Formats: sequence, structure tokens, C-alpha cells
Amino acid sequence: MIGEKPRHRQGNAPSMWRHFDVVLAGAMALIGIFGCVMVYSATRDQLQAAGISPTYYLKRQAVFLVIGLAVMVGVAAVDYRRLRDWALIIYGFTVLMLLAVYAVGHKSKGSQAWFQVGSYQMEPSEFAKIGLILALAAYCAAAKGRLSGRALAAVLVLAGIPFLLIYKQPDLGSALVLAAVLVAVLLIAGASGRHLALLGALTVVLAVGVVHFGILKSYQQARLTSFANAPSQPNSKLLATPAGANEYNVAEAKVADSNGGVFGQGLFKGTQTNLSYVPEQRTDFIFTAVAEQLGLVGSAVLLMLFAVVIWRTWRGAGLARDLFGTLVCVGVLAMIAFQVFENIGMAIGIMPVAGIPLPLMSYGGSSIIATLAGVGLVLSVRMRQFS
Amino acid sequence: MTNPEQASPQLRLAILLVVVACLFSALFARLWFLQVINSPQAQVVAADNGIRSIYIPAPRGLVLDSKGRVLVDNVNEPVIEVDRQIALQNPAMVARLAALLGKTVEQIDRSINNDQYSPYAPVPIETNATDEEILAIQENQAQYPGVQATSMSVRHYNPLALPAANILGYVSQISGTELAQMKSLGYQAGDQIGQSGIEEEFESYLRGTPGVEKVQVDSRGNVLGRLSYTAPVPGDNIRLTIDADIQAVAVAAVQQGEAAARTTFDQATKRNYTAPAGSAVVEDPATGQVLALATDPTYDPRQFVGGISQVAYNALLDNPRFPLLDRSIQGQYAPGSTFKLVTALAGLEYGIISPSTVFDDTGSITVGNWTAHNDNSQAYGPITLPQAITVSSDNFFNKIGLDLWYGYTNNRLYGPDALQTVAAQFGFSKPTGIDLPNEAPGKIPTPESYSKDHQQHPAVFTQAQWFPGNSDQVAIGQDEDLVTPIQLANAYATFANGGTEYAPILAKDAETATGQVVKRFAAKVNGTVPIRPDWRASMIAGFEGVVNNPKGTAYAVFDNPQNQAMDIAGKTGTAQVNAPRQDTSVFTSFAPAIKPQFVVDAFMEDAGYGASVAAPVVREIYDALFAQPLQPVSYTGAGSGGQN
Repeated sequence: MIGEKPRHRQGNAPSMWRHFDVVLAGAMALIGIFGCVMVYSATRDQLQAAGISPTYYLKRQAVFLVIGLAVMVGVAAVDYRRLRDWALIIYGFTVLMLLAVYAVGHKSKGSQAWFQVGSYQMEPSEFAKIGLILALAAYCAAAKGRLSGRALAAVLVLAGIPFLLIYKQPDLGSALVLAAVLVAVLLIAGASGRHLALLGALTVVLAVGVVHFGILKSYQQARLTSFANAPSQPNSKLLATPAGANEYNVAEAKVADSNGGVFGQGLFKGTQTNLSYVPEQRTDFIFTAVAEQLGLVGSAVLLMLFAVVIWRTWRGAGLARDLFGTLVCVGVLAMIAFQVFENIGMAIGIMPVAGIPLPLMSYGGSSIIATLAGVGLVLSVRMRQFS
Repeated sequence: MTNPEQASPQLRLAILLVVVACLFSALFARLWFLQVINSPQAQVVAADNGIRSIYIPAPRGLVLDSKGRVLVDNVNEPVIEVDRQIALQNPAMVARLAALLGKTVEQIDRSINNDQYSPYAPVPIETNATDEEILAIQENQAQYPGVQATSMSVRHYNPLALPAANILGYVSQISGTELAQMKSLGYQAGDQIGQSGIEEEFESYLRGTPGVEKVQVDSRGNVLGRLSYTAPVPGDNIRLTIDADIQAVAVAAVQQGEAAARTTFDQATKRNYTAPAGSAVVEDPATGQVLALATDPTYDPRQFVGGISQVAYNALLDNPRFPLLDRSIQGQYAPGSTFKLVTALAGLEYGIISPSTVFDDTGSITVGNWTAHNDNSQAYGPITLPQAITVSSDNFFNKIGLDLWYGYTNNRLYGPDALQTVAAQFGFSKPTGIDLPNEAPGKIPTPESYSKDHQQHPAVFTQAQWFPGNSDQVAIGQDEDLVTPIQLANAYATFANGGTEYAPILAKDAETATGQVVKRFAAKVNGTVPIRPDWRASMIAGFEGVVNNPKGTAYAVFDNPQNQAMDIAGKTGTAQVNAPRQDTSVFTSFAPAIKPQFVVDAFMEDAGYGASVAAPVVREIYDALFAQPLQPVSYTGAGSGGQN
């Protein structure tokens, strides 16, 4: 399809919007609404117990979703090729924000990751993902599918700067998302098999070195290994140590997941969810609320929705008019797919615990808006496949 | 598709899709495993995760006397409790509370962290809280979040109960060791558990059945709501055979006896009697029911309410008069002449004497190379069994003991412990089985026990071999003879009822709060003693003579119309003990002699002749039993006859 003769030289609005991917946008909206319900179920009892309106988090999440959907449509309306020229500027801006977080940011649970804006917090690392996707796509597209060793080095530097800044926050999870994006973009951008193998070897050496020479903080190591050590029955005594606390999280999350069975306990009826046994449930462990209350059926529906999003994004990558468009879609695909896999995987005990939000499901405005902005890019690419 | 620059991304895009599809498949497979295959167990874990049982102690059963008067009940005592979850998050409050209660923060933290208590129920920080402390907390509740002044049920002793502390015993909070041992019975930390006396013996009736409240809690331990509630069932009341009035009189009589003895000069030791302790027992010989079990000194059971302080407990332990010892069942004394009951019956059973056998009492007796003297070497002349009992001739009974021994050594007519066998029939040398813990067994020595004791403790028991003199002395309640007051009373009860030896009882029944009897306790029969009616008649004549015959050893004590009308039969005993101790004054009795209703005995330590103190103590108890005016206990000097 790519390389087919364009039917329209210059996109005019009505014809362009005919190619708006309603399925992708609709799947995103559905996941967002699903997420709002789950955030509500995971928070209302605690809020009520604390004497706060049970819909406090629900309302905020709904606002984020509406803003995010507006951003998505807004981004889709912008011709992605223009962003190609702005890519490095956007990238530079997000890196500056990451730097600024060190100067004026706030600390939360030991990590310095966000700005306080009114009663909201903004996490630059979420937007840095988009910045990196655009920058990588622009740079690799310029290389026209053949990455020389030098270009590869430049790409590594490009990705390395935000990676290190986020890793130092420390937010290992988000840093790993950048790595996933990098690998996917390099794969599609035409990095040679040799380079990819080299990169893989480098990653292994780096990972072993990091774990072995104590570059990872002990709690990070603990998180990374806790999925292997999680006891089959959670024991609150574990909470005494940081490593134990992670094992507890994973064990409780697994209990919550298994507790759901095929049809779940029923919405608002999960004991683990509604009695807040699962820590961080409205954010990183939101999937456990789905699994416990809606069971295998609810989990499968959610996985299906994400699969639809990934399929449509993949289609966008294939149908893109140029390599830049393809790479943007691939970056967004990698970002979402990796987050879904890592987040759900950690909730069900097959991946190490790393603080990554489940796109559109976890509570948090920055993640929702950034994710929807990314999907907006995909929509923009798809809309302009013929123009 | 001809453009190589474009072909490559298509293939690579396909690879990307395959990788992502694999990852999603892995997620789905794992979900299938967790939610379909693994689910039933997880549901059990999850349900357990959110439900906690809170345990509600049951009110303890009451203790009533034989007439239904409440001796021990419960009152609510103010207590200050702290919610753990809140306290752990609020060190400032803990510091304020410590200052208010005059404790250190460490002490309070220790209470809060005491894992004997359920983490979901408030922890008691201070029992016996003062009004000021409670007011301070209630008026400044904002300053003390999570602290509540509430009340807990503790034992309360009515005035009638105070003379019966030895019977009632006390409760205390269950210890860690007890908890470990009794967890299977459903005990929980903080429970009250009977530690001695009736409280210990009838713990299973008194404790009741605790209630359970099931609550839903979240992971932080916050209680979200009640799921179920089972009310506690109060413990059963125990109705004693004890008559609180008689018990009070018995204790008072013993105390008067001690006081009287202490003002009397002892010619033998050239100082006043020390009379540090005494005890008395009243038993119904027809049923084995105990009406009074007096011991002095004793303790105030109220000290144990809410936990006794270490200082107070040490004071009880270190007191040289041993107030925690219940002498009525744990005091072991030589019975002296009161033991002649056994010797007389042994003589009759083995055919050494008959009721009409005449013995010429010359004041001393020499059998083989052994000579024994009566008290003051008094000679009673030709006497039969009843007279021998009445005047308490030692020689009459020395001879029975010696004849039994020589009958064994010379002719093997009997075993080596013929006398001890009869003693055992009366219940000596083993616990009677009264329903109280830690009863002492007493001892009647045998040739075998002599050699065994010597083997085990040669320094203490220097004599390995049995001599005729041992038989001679055992026969008159000396040598190593040791009996408890309850044993002696029960032996005389056995004689008085014609030969049935009961295990004496203190509890009549267990009843619900509304008085419905759930369990009736009857005295077990330990055994029987064969007593021919003519033997019994002749011995009763002797025992009646002790009290009513001018030659009787206790005649002077009971020589008044009030006591004579009671038809009391008795026996004095003066037990010699090793210096510097003074003689133990013993008196035992039953009345009316024709149809005995009561057996009463008294043991007075370091107090002189049996007739001097123990008999007057018993007399006052009879006054109460027959509802007659009480005659104060006065020291009775030596009468015309022998005194022992």
C-alpha cells in the first residue's frame, strides 16, 4: 500500500476525516471508561471510610479522560508531517521538563517525578515518551531505513538522555518503556541484524552489571526479583522489609486475581479490592480490581480492547504514507504494548514489579493524556495515508 | 513491494506483531491459570483475609454458699483501653497517655505490642484506673484519640467470702505458659483463669463460653462492619456445701484459740505458746459434704483482683506464717491420741482386744526391751477399751501396736504393716480426694517406708530399720505419723457413719444464672471400713466419755448444759513435735453421738494440750452448728486426768 499513488495531493478536511480510525478511537474511549469504573471500585470504600466523597477519584479520572480524548482528536487534526520538523524541539522540551523536575519537582514515595500544578501533578516522564517517539522516528526516517553504526550511536544517545534522567528519578518502569520504544523503532527502522544482536548483547551485559555491581537500589532489585519469590499466601509480616513489601504486593495481587474466577466476584464486591488489600490498586495494580471483580471474562475483554488498539496501531504503521509515519505508529505501539504487558504481567506475577501505569486504566492524568496524544499521532498518520 | 527500502519494514512489522501477540498470549494463559485452575484455593485465602474474629469473654459464674448466698460475683472495673492502630500512628498521644497514667512510654508501648491480645480488639493499658484518669480522658477525648475509658468484669468478694479465701481461691490473667497449654480449650490472651481453690477446681464450669464477633477488616486492620455476633454464655454458678456462717465462726474460733494460747505460758519450753496457725474442719459424716474449712492465717482474696502486685505477692510468699497455705488440707500434723481410733479398731479387727478386754494400766509398759510411759507416767489401773479412750491411756494403745508388731515378727500372724492397713482404710496416707487442688497426702510410716526413705535420703532418715518402738509410737499418733485436718475429720466421719469413707466434697452443684441445676455433685465413696456394731458402741462410749465423763480428757471444756445437750463425742490429741516447736493441740469429734450429723476437728500449732485450745475451738463451732449462744474460746488448763 505504501508507495501507492496518492489520490489527493493536499488533504482537505472532509475527506481526511473519512479515514479517521473510529475503531481505534472508540477502543481507547471504551478502555478509558472501563478504567474510570475500575478506579471508582478500587477507591470508593477507602474514600468513604475517610469521610471523603466516594467519587473523588472517579471525577478526576473522568476529567482526565475527557481532556485526553480532546487532546487525541486535536493531535489527530494536526498533520503529523509537520511534527516531523518539530520533533527535535518537542523532544528537547520534554528533556528540559525532565531536568526541571529535579529543580522544582516533588517527591513521592522516594522518587522525584512530578510537578505540582494546582491540585494536579504532572509527570514529565509520560510526555517524554511521546517526545522520544517523535525524535526517534524523525531521525531514523531521515536515515531512510539504513542505519549506519554512527547513526545507531546517535540514536542511542537520543534515547539515552531521557532514559537516564527518568531512571535517576528513579522511575525504572518508565525508563524501561523508553527502551522498549527504542528497540521497536530500531527494528522497523532497518537496523541491521548485527546491530540488533549487538544491542541485545549490550543490554544483557548492562543488566547483569547493574544487578551485580549494585547500581540498582536495593528496593529496585527487590522489586525486580519479588515476582520470583512471591509467597503463595500473603503474610503481612513481610511488610517489615522493602523487599517483603513487594512480595506482599505481588502475593496480594495474585490472590485478588485468582479470587475472581471466571466471572469475578461482581463489580464492587471484590473483598481484596474493596477492602484495599491490594496496595497501589488505583494506580499500578488497577488490573487486580478488574480480575477480582470481573473475573476472567472482564480481564479477557480488557485484553481484547488493548489487542484492538494494538492491531489498529499496527495497521496505521503499515498503511502510513512514509517511514516517519510508520515509525511513529511503531513507537506508540511499543509504548502501549510494553506497558500493558509489563503492568498486567506484574499484577499476575509473571513480570517483575516496576511502577508502570496500565494505559487509560490506571489513575493518573499525565499517563492518560500522554497515551491519548500518542494514539492521536497514530490517528493522524492513518487519516493522512493518502494525502 | 519492489522497493527494498520498503519491503524490509513490512517483514519487520510482521515480526513485531508476532512478538506482541506472543506477549498477549502469555498474559491470557497466565490469567487462565490463576482464575480458572487456581481459583478455589485463592478464594479461601481471600475470604480469610477480610474476616477477623473478635472474642468476647463470658462473665464468670458466681460462687454461692450452701444457703444460696453469693460469696463471689463480678463487678465492672474501670479500665483504660487503647486502639492499637491509632496508637501506632500517634506517638504524641501515647506520650500524653503515659504522662497521665504515670507510666513510661516504653511501658505503654509494651502493652500495645503485647501480642497476647487480638490485634483487632483494644488493648487494656491500665486496669483499676482512677476516677481522675478516666475523667481526664473523657473530658479531653480529642487529645486521646483511640483511647477509651471503659470497664471490664472482675471478681468481687462479698464480706461473707473473706473468711473462705482458702476455699474460693482466686483468678488471674492467664499466663503465656498456661495459654500455650490450654489453647485447645479455647482460651485467649487476657482471659481470667482460676488459680487456686474452687476457682481452679471448677474452672470449666465457671468460665462460661466466650462469644465471638466476626468483623470485616481491611488490610490496615480497620474494622469495616460486623458480619456475625454470638453472645457469650455466662459461666455456671457453683453452689458450695460450705455454710458461710459456720465458716466465719470456725475461722474466728481458730483465731481466738491462737490468741488465747499466745497469752499462756508453756512449762515445757519455758515461754508462751507461739500459736502461729490453726485450722478447723466441719463435715457432714452422712454425705461427705464439708460445711467449713477454716485456716488461719489466710489472705485477702481482694488483693488478687485485677492482678496482684509483685510486692504484695512477695509479702504473702515471704510471710513466716505462710498465709497462702491452706492448713485444713495442706497442713500435715502428727495426730497424737486422735489416732487411737485407728489403733482401737486394728486391735478389734485383728482380735488383740475385744470391747471387754481388761488391761492393767500401770503408767508404763515394757514389752521385750522396750518401755513406754503414759503422759506424766499416770497409772489408770485396770481399764477396758472405752475407758482407755476416755482417759487416753497411751499404754493401752502402745500395747496394741507392739502386739501387732510382735505378732508379725514372732508368729507371722499379720503382715508387717497391719496397723497401717487399717489406717489406710480410714483414708490416711493418701489424699482424701476433696474437690480442691494440691491436697497433701499425709503419711503413716511402715517398715518399708523406713528403709526406702533411708535409701533415698540417708542424711534425713538416719534410721533404716523398723524397731518395736516405732510400732509403739505409730499406734498413739506419733513417730512419723502425719495427717491433715481434713483426713482426720474424714476418718472420724467414716467411723461416725458406720464405716463408709467418702471423698469429702465442697461443691453441691453447678447451676445456671437462673438457678437451674446443670450438674449435681455427690461425694464419691473411697472405700469402707468393717466396723462391728458392738465395737462401734464401745468406742462411741469411750469418745462420749472424753467429753461427758469427769475423767474424760476434754470434760472441763464441755462441762456445761448447753454442750451436754449436744451429745458430743470427741477425742483429744497432743502431738509432740521436735523442739523448738511446741505441742500441737488437736481435738476431733462428732455429734450427736447417737446419730452423727457433724464431724468437727481443730488443729492448733504450738498451742499445748488438745483439751487446752483445740477443744474450746471445736466447742465454739458446735455452738454455732446447734444455733446456740457462742462461748468464747478460753484456754483450758490441765484437768484432773491426763491431757493428751
